[in-house]
Amino acid sequence: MATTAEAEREMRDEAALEQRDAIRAACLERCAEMDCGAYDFGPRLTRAEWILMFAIAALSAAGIYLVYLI
Amino acid sequence: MATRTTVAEVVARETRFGIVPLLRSDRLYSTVDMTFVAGAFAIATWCYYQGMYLAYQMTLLQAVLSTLLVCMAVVVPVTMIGVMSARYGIDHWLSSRATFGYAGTYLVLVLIAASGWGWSAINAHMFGQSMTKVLAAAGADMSSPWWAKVIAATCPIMGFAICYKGPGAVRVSAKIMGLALLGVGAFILILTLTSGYMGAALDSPPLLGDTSYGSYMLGVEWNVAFVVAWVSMIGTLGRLAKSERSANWGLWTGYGLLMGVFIIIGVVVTFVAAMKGAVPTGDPTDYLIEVGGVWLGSLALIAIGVANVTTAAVGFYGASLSFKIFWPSWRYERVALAFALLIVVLALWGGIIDYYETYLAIVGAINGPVLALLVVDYWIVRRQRLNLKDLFRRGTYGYTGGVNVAALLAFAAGIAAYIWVYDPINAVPRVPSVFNILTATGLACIVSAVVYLLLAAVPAVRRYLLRDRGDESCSIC
Repeated sequence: MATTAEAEREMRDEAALEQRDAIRAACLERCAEMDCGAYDFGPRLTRAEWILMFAIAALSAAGIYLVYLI
Repeated sequence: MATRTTVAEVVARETRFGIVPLLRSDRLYSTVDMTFVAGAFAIATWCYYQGMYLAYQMTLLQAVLSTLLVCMAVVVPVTMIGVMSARYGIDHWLSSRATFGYAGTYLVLVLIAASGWGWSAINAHMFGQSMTKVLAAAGADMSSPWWAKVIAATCPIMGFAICYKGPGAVRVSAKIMGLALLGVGAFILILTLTSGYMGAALDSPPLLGDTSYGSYMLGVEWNVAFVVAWVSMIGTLGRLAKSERSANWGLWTGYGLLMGVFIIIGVVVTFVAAMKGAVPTGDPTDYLIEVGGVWLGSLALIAIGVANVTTAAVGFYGASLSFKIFWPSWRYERVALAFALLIVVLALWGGIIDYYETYLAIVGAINGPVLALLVVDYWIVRRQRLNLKDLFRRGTYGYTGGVNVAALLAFAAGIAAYIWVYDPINAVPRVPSVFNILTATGLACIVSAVVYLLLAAVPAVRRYLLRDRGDESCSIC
């Protein structure tokens, strides 16, 4: 019985390894698609959006110290 | 051909339930979706608990304003990680292989995930407490303390039942619950604002009676730690965003604005409850049934309770995907179930809520430096360029035995700085002159970032960090 269990475990391990290899291959395939230079990553956040977000953050950070005075 | 079929099948499944990068056509979440999913995760009864702790340290007005300001300031590095994840369609725990190395990422992920389990346990605990009180108000005999624990244990199970179906189900439940939560939030605010105690609440000193700047900054520290607590969950949501803009503004609104608003509601409720003579518990059930009556109060509480289930669902989905970097062939459902069962055990124990301040300190000490390093490494040191293929194989991100020594040193320096200024066990500042300016989590972030940037400025270390630039086999993007 122990032998059967071991064989089953071995088969499971092998299947998991195959699955792992398939996932790895899928990941690399997707990366290759993005790597080729022609892939469209989509529009980036605009400079105005970054400035707006950082300005809000900076003003908020400064405001934290001022709020105590209220 | 057989191999191609296998890979195609794997891609179909693992984009939603695994680590395979999502192409733009695979993305699910719009800005509104991201807002609801991030908000549904961040908003749970722990916001009310946080609000109660703030009420002890600050006046009502200070707590309201500083909470909003902290959320708006600290959420920015969080969204920057989300933008990076959206750009490549990957979880940030994959890109962190570039920052910490293969083995280094495992270490950091385990530390962060362990702190995340605490949040889930707190979430389940408060679900149990809320539902027990609702049932008691309805006339059921809930006198045994085991009732709350057993009901708490159902929260992760229900959360698992939703996340089991994947990100689409998570989105649907998050939208339903998000709308319910907004309604509940408005309901609670109306109850408190019309309670007749708002004037007294506004004139009240902090509930501990300490009006010092140090007491105020302790509350600020807890808020900073609270916002950085979501580090573990940025990438799994960000990768599903349809664009960088969706990821950025969705996370900004959900993790920043909405969460801030709900902490503020917690603060207001606590002050009003205290003015009425109640002992603040951080549990909205203690107040809502009293003010709203059994039916109206119970309805609101059930909505809050169900929101905790959605939080658990989003949390398990994210944690399960992140943990698949350990072994990508693990079945998503099994990993999610393992997390759910772990939270069931923690909920049945029920002890983690007793160490909330200490727990928050640990979260700040670990998550702050990790967040800072992820941002500095990708946005400054690497100038937004990664070797994507090497994130999935032991290539240039192998560093030294799988660990980026420079990042680990910077991480350790951040934690050391945190412990230097703040005693995480007793939740007391050790060096008030520094703590009162930067807070402990803020200092830890700054120290980690500066140490890493200084190391990266050394030519030999720079070459060590940017080995991917010399790899001609594949481009970086």
